[in-house]
Amino acid sequence: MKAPTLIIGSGPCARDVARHLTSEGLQTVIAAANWTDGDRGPRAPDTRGNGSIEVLAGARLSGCSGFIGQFDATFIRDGATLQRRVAHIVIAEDNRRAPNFDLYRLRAGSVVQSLSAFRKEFATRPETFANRRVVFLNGLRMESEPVMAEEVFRSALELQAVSGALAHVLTGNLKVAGNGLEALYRDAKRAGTLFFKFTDTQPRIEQTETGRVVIEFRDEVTGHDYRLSPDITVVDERIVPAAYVDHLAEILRLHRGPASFLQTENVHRLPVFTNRRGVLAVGPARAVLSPANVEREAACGALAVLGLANPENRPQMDAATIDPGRCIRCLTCFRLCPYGAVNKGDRITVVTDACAGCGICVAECPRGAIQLGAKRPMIEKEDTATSPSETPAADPRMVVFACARSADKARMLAERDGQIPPVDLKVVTVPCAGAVSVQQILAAFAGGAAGVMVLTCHIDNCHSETGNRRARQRVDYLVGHLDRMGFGGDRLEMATLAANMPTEYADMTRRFLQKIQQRVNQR
Amino acid sequence: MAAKKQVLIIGGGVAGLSAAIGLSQLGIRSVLVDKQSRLGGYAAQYACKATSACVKCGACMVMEKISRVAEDPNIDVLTGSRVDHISSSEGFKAVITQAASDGRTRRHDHETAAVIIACGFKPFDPEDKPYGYKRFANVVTNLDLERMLRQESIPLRPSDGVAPARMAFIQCVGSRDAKLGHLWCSKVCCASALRMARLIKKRRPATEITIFYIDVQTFGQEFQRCYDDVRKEVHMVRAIPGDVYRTPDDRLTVVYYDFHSEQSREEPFDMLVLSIGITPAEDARDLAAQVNLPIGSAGFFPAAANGGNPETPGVFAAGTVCGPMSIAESVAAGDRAALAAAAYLQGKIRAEVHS
Repeated sequence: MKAPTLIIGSGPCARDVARHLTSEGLQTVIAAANWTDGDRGPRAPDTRGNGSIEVLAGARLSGCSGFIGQFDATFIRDGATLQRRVAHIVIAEDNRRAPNFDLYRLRAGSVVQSLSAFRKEFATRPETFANRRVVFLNGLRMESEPVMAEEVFRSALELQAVSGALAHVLTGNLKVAGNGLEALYRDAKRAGTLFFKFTDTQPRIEQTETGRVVIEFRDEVTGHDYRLSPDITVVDERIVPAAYVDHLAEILRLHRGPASFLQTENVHRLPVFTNRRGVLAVGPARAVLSPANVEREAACGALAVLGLANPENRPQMDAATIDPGRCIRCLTCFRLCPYGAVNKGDRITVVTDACAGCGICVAECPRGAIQLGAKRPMIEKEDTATSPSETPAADPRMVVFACARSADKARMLAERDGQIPPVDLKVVTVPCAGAVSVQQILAAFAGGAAGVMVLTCHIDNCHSETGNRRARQRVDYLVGHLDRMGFGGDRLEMATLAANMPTEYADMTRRFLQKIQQRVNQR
Repeated sequence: MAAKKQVLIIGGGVAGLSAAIGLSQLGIRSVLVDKQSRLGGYAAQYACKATSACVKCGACMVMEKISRVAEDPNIDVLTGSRVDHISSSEGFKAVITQAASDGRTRRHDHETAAVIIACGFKPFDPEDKPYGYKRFANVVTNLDLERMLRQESIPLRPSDGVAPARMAFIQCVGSRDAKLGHLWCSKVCCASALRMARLIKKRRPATEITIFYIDVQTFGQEFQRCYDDVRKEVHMVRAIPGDVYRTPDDRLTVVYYDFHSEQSREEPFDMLVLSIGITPAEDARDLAAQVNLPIGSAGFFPAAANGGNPETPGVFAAGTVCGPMSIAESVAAGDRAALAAAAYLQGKIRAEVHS
């Protein structure tokens, strides 16, 4: 029997992923750190398919070794240790709300509430809000999110339906970029909610010692002065990943985005992939999403697992292998592999199924012990050797190392559109610019190139996360040396391109050729 | 049986491409039909907006998806093709007309077990807006500017091919517009305008750029930082311009109400970019009627149709046909439709085995 899929999460997203997978016949384990046995309770497994759900309520991941197809996960539950061997891991943890009391210098209490607290109270006892004046503060000191705006609009709309209640919304940019939000905003306005928008000014918000809040401002549109003394002030919230998500990222060696969400927004990983094959980040653990979008992402996560589980989809690219005779166990590869695909066993090995074939380790291994597929080195001398020209001055030879995902795609588009410059380019397609070693660049010069270009994707676009940065380091290092040697550092250039930049590909190579041509002619 | 285990995908934009790839990952064949001669939809015309680093617009991913689809034996691609008719009884029968290069047409008949409708959106036509589109050469749309940046790297005035010294964007043209009945935000135009403005500032720093807006919409995890940076180099004006006219020296004067000074202001620009909204695709209504899918009052497919509609089994919708969406969201919607279609096909097979 195939190992099950581990789903880490305690909310509806985790349940949705499990439901999708079991109806496709997969076995699943839900590790729900915040699910305790008496609480909500796991739903009965969906028996539509042949799948199953095992719920580990209250289990927190404490360690995980192994790779796609065979992860060994360890959990702690009630002080006891649990272990499960799983094929794939889906992280579907909920995120956390952090109220912006600090941004508005307000103290929480009965007259100052977070949006979540207000919504909870309003849902249970709406009648207690009769004749209340409520001010919602949203996106004033910091930009808000459509998810937050939706809750504010809905709260205001519902509040207006309560006898004598009045809602004021003091807001920065109104975030209506969500389904139905513009209409909801208009409904709230029509129901009597007063909206005040702040562009270059800010309302003055003060809280007296008794806790009472006074808000003063001049309406930017009408120029009227206002002084509000609301019964309740409701403060918006930042949506941030749960602390547990940070912990998971460390255990599973996942890259994190700027707000610590489990995805760097690397476009190659959309929507749910992470830097590790077999580990997926879905829904609230990965980004701020509306409930509808979370539901959609659960399906994306399930599709990704099914795709990974299908043996027909084994990656076609050459994986890296380490020659045990040459390896000195320096762990450079382990340290640098962006995919966490190197196994520190008795021997250091690259796990084929976890490897994306970027070649960063091949270029960085100090012993030259790693190769991609059957090829060592990955780029042979003859790949970059340029045939001698009879009139080199008129037609200098150039070697272009082009990243297969970006620059090489731009080249193909340029050729399709007839934009290719009239130059004898030797284009060497590489899986990632991080695969191009210092030796290979030197070999290209030794083979007769008058100029060498390394073309990569933009920073933060690299499928291998760090490949383009490594290429940059190597090129900068070499340029310095070539200059000091009197060879001319400007014969080597690096530039960044995207797959949809054919014009720039043609321009860059043409401009570089002209520069090299001038150099050769000056000699 | 094998032939029935197929999905017809109408529309080869981001959502359609993603759906086809998703189905193929599960070993399911699909026929991907697009009216245009090339796959990729509007997003395939977008420019890369990276400045010093990638700004996560996702436009480059379209290229990657197109090449994946081209190499995938599970996906049959019919470009330059139109679905003339679909009938649904015991699966779906589609009649497709493909324009051949010699000017003639070829008819294809396809029988499939499920249909994914991903026919995209129609950019709002701003001709009736008082901004001089089509009357003044230097008033262009954001889609025109995308293509221009893609092809020329920098903006150039259509009237004389000169790079503009002062340019302005007008946001929400055809969106958030009660008069038109367009009670929706098009979601992607703020990101597009801000990113294009930054790209232009990077490539031609002397260009002065103004953005007229109602509310700036959030995009991405680094929005706050991006927006703070934009405000340092771009003039943000919260106003909906009322009028645009052309001056004798071929410039464009934008008239708007300035609430600071409480009066009408006029500002001259060399080029004007209208951020036009996402509106329902022209064939959406017709396709929905053929497969009996109810359509929303705005003309978009219901969002729930992404995962399937109980009254119309086997029909799924993905991407901007359901309403405004970014590239990233369209990828996710394509995936979701693929999974839902796969589950539907499997349910059918199970039912056949049991009967």
